[in-house]
Amino acid sequence: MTSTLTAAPTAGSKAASAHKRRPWVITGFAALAVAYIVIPFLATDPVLYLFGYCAVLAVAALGLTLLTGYAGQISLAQPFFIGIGAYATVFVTVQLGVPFAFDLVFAILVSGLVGAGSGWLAVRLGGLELAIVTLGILVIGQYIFNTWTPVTGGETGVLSSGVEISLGPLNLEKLGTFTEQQSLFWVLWATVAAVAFFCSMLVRRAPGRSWIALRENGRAAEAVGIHVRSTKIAIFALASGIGGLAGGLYAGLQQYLSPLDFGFNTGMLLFAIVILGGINRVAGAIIGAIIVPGVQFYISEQADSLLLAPIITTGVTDSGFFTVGSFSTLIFGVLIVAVLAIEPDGIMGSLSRSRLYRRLTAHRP
Amino acid sequence: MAASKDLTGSGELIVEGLSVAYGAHSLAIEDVHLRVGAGETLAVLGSNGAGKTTTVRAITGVLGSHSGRIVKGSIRLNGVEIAQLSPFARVRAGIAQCMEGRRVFSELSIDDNLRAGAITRRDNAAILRDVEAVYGRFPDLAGRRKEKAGYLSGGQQQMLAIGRALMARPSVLLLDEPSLGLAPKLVEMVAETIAEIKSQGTTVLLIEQNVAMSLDLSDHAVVLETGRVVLSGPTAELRNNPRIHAAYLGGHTGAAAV
Amino acid sequence: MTGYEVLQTFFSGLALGASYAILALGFVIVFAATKVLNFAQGAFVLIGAYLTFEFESQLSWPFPIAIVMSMLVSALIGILIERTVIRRFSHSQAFAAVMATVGLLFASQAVVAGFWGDSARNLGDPWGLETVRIFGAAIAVSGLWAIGLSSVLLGLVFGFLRFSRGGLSMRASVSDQEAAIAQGINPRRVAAVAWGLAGASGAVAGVLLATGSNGVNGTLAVAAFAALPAMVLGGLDSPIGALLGGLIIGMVQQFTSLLQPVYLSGLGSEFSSVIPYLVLIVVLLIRPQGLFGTRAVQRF
Repeated sequence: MTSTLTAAPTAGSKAASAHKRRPWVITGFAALAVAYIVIPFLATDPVLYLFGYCAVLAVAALGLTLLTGYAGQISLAQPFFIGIGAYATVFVTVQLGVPFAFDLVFAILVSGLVGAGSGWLAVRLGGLELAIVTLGILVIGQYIFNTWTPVTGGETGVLSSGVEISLGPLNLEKLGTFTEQQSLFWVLWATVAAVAFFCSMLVRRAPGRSWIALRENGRAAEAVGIHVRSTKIAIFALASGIGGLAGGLYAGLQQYLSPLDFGFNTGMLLFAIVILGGINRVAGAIIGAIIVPGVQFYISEQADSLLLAPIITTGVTDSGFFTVGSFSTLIFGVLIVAVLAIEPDGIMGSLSRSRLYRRLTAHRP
Repeated sequence: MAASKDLTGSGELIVEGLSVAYGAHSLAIEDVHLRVGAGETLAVLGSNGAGKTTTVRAITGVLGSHSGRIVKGSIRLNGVEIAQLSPFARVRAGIAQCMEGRRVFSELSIDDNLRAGAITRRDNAAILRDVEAVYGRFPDLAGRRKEKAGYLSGGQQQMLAIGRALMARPSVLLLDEPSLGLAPKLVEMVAETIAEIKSQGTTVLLIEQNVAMSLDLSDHAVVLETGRVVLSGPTAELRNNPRIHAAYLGGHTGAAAV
Repeated sequence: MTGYEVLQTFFSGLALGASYAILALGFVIVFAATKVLNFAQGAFVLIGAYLTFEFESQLSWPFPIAIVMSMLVSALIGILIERTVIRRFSHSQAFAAVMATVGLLFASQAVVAGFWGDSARNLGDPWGLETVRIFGAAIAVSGLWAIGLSSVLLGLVFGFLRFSRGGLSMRASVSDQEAAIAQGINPRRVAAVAWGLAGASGAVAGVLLATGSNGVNGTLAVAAFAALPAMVLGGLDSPIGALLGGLIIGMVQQFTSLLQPVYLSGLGSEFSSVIPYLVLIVVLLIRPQGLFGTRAVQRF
């Protein structure tokens, strides 16, 4: 994975001509900004809800990108931290009546704190043992969410419709005359942009370098003056805190939370996202978070189409082999294996090596 | 040592124009020519990084484990090209090696280490005899045959590594730094063992830091420098070559001169 | 709590521990031979259980033949997976190979669901829900079978590792792969044998986990994960460690199921399901190198 060390586009060698190319980058961001403003006016509510879900997954996947992609710590426990953030938000909002902005801070803090605890475990463990222990944390999390009924509602779940994403008196879920889904789209994707900006700042500076050093060789990292113990605890706390933020947003998006939302399958969904997008690219988490749920949505929409009907069964009399659920499971299983085998750096890795991309981004600040 | 005579055979090894690269890097060895006649011993000399171990890896076929590959050249055993064969096929063809750093299977018993050396053979009765023959040669090992090899001293591990290589009944034996890190007395014992293997007709390719010792044991020698053969010839000639004398035998101080 | 209950729990703990031991052995052998943490072990469990069900209940084959055949098919699938997928990852980082096995697990879960649907099936094991009385305690026959079957399988695997040429190749390869190659050991064959063994042992574990009232269902794939703590406790690459780790976790889990509802009922009915991981975390806090691992502690 040494390619990642050189992956971040560095200043172009031909500074003079680079100025001519920069407009491409600006055009790209402008197109994204236009899409950001326009999409809520064009898309239907179910599609907007899907985009909101993508945004929540993107935030959670960004945490995973930092932790596993940059720092090389394989953690399967990210859904647990999403869960903590979500339940904490519901608890504080619905039961204590605290305003949403403070809930999010609370969600981030609680998840980050628990995450620091698992980072402390990671200090003692190598890569694959850590994967197993974090799987254990996920399982224990499932048990807690299922059992701690006063807070989580147990297996039946808890209503989260009382959670409104708001800043003081400004309810961001009901902006002016816009619908809730339109408002949610804007606020959630603004959060994604903010978190992505924050993450890309970090990975280009000292923290990012110390994470990569940790991933490539822990001992060598120690030798060049990186405090491995505190770095590990900090990256776990950070990734979990970002997971907690995703959880808080999830509580705002959803009407209802169930422990299954924070289980093994969600963990694998996140891994499918970061692997497909590119595990060691900040943008990869976002691209993956749009594509993976998008494909799932497409499969369920098109299950009765000419192409998929022979494969997918939607009713009792249907002759298809797979159910919608297991067909998308199959697609992601095959996709994960194929991406890892063909292009381990995912879409973004592939893109950043392509000549076009290099040309367009030859000079980036 | 009549019994251990069974362990050996004889083969002619010819390396021509061999170039090896690791990954995308430049060539580790370039255009190397070696010829070891049946029953002869060839010493490969050179400083660290000259390409000695790379040459051995190319001959035994384990370059793949180091993401290296043969760029060009041929390696022939008794006239048969082996450069494309898998490492196991080469062992079956009669090439065995004693790797640098001994590399015994430390979690396995001494018995199992020796049996692993004979893994390509199917003649179980003969394997058992050969195990006893190795114990006959190295009595130190015989008393501890059920112990884990990791508990042996460095010298004993080296004996085990040589014994393990002999268990394949090689016709060509490659020894990579067999005396490295051993006490003088043990070095002597290694030298005796090599002399004995040689006397039984096995072809030996010997890599040694201890130049005086390897010149004593060999018929021919080549000198590698930065991946190329810079000198080669019969040992007797090279011994008197002023360059060898100065560079490897400490000629000007006379300390290690023979 | 009576003496009968203790005896009963001892046997059920032994039975559960034996299933864990077999599962952990599958994980350990693959990890030792190919350095891959194989999450697809759950797929073998699933496939083994469903195939046994298919052979026994649908094709009416005798139960022992059904088990052996499903072991064989599962072993073949294991070898096939190694050849087609895992081999491509032999030079990549551990992460890529691990995630690839997760992908395989997903894909095989979907295929199994496609063939057999989502509903639970009755395995059709001949012992069913019968019990026998041993010293007055009612012991499930299925548990005794689990103990017997696992003992036979473990004996075979350990015998293979200890005494056969293939076992020697595998042990040598685990100890030092390059040196093993230099002796003429074919690492690809070692990997194939390891994945074949994992497939066969996964199939047996699947049968044991689906026996009695549990039934054959899709959650078996995840049930296999409960054996991962046993693997870590044993030190990741030690077959004996896997055996002992499995037995310990099985015992602790069953005794917790016996005692916790009485003394700590507030922890709820699902508490025993997290026991394997709790045991793991507690042990790692006290002894970071695992219970039986002799390796130096990895601190980075």
